[in-house]
Amino acid sequence: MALLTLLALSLAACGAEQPFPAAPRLLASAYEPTRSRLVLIDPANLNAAPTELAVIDHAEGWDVEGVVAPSGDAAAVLAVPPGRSRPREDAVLWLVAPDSKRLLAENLDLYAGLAFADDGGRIAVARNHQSSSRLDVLDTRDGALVAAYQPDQPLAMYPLEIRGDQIWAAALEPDGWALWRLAIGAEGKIARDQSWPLGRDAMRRWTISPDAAAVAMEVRNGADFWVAVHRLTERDDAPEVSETQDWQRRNLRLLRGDSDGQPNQPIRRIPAAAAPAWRPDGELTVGRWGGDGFTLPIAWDRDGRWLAVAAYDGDGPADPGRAWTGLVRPDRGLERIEQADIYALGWWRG
Amino acid sequence: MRRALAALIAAALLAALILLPAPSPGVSAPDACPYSGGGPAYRIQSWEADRDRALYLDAQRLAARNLLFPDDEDFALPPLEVGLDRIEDPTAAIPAHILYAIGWIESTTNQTAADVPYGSIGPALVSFDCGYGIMQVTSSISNEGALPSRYEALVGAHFAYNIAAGARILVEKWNDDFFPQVGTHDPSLIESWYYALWGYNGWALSNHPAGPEVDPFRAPEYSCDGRRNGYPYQELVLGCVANPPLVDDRPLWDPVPVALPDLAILASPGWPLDPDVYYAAWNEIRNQAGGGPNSPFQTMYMPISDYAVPYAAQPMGDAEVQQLRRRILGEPRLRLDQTELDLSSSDGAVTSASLIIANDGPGLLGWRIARAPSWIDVDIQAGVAVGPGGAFPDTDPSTVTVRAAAGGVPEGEHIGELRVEALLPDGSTITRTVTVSLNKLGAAFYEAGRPQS
Repeated sequence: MALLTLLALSLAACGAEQPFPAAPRLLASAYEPTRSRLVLIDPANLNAAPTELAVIDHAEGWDVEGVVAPSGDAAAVLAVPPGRSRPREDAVLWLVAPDSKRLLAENLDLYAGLAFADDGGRIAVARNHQSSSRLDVLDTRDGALVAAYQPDQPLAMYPLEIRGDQIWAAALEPDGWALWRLAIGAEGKIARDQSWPLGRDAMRRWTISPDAAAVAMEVRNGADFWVAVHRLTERDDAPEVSETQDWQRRNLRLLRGDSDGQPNQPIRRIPAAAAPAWRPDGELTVGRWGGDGFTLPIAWDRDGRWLAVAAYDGDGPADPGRAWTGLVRPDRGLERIEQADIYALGWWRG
Repeated sequence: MRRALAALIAAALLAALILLPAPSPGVSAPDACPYSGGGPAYRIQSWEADRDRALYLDAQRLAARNLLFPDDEDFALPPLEVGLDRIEDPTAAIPAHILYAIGWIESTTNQTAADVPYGSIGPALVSFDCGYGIMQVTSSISNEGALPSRYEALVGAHFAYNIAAGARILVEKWNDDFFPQVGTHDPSLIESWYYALWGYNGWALSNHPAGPEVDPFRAPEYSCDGRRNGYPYQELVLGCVANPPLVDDRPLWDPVPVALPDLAILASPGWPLDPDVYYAAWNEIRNQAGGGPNSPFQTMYMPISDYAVPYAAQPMGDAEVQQLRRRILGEPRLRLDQTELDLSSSDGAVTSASLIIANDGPGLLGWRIARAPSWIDVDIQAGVAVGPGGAFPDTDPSTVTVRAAAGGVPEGEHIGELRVEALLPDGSTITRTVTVSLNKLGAAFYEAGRPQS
């Protein structure tokens, strides 16, 4: 019996039959004109050949957009299918796991983003069509519609997160952007619970803090960019903002916490910055510029050790130069993923 | 009372939404056209040229100068309005490279669905919102559930008409003073087409170059083989003009440099490409009861780049034009040998029948079903039949399957007329009538919503 156990352990430890070890790996799209390969990249060994997870065929030129499920072992991917050409209306949703690829929904907005529920069992998607728009919550097992929200008039909606029975979404209303908190009620009814108007200048990159106490967003006015952090709660125990680290190399900056402020007024305005990303411990990372090359955060891994970034060889938004994908190591060193046309989607575990 | 009614409607709508069925797997043709009538997409068959797209590029060159269908009221190019006073100039043309690039961005310059091999017939390319063919034409297509009109049939079925329709829509945007101008509104400068191209794809915020839905860190000039995510539509097209796609390692056209607007200046607060200027114009439209004399979007007037140079159109003599037209349009001739179709078999079961629409002349013969009894269905409502010779190597007739429609018809014998219309390049039509007979025997044959045989 002891021998059998030893044999089993030895087989399990061989590694060659373990395509998905537990260490976090970067899920990325390896773009080609008519298909994107979803690949897993080992951050500790960027020179190793990535593991191919799935291939998504798509219309010429339209790369996939996607997110990793909270469990880290599945991903939802939007793609414009072959033969279609309207990214705002034609995208389809694939659910990808190591041994499967399933089509969950059609006629979605490629750019609207996706939001998994905490347990991965539901996913929020948006249909931002010119004549009507709808935010849907789908069952990830079969794509069945669990709940839907349709505003009075067509709007661009961007699901950000599902937490329990609450959905966070950004919406582009006639008077500007708003952050919505929606409540999923009985029988799939969704109602708007609260709305924070947040001006006209926001860009698409929004992110809710891990404790849902703040939202950080990229803002642009002409050539000026900044990151605004808005508080979403009335609590008064928030700490003052303090910069814990200033990464001189490629101008990544890490900020801690939030502070008091009036509702809907930014509690923090970080000039010449973009692409906010929360670390799981509640710190906020932004990308800044002002020298040779700059780096924009994409996603922290679940442990807050590795950070995927989009790096640019230019000196700022007016001249971004050549773009590439990189990783910031736990020791804060920046490494480049040499393969061309790689676009990070999130962090994979399992 | 009104509020109560609104709440009732909203509740009904929500209930309807929640009861929507789960989407079916696989990417299917659209079953409704939400922006153009709400009916189903037309069932149109088209022909795909060779992979080198040479025939399509030639058609685009002719369309750019109104040399494809100059006398066809549905497909002729209107005169371009030129200059700040917008004077019609019948000699002005679209730079052909703009049509090349639109075709590539819209459809990878393909007229048929993705799975149709080059050089053969198959379903026309139809997008979710019922854009048809190479130029993804949606305008003037009604999709209300009836049979396609001549315009609709030709746009979906025949690449040359599709290209002409796309060129016409672009000129309508160019001529429409709803859209702002660039520079002196000189069509020979490719940069002048910036706003017309934006309008071609829908005058939407998603195409604002400094708006919230584009990538502010995108590379300044799009390359046509590159990743499109994050670019506004007009930058995709203009990028393709300057950096053409490679097909079999060869550029599909000669590159033409384009100077894009300098967003560092033009998107600054108060400047034409400041999104607030765009928002303000929409607000003015929303708040204006009767509408003012000028479009509020004229505040987005933009100077032309100092680097813009006039487009050098490839010269074409009359002989070449006529030769190209013959090559593209040919001289199709309808052959329809059948005069009767019987949908009743000897054992009383309801069957289908095939209707062969052939073309005895060179080129593509466009055709449509112009009239059909309500009690039959056809699997193709319009199409093209390939004739012998010319640029079309393989003769290929259209085969239309005619079936009895389910329900709605009482038992007994029915006789009706199926009218086939051949749509010829000179604008004329030839109509043939086929008599269709059906002997409907009973409800048992029509269970489950379709005829049982």
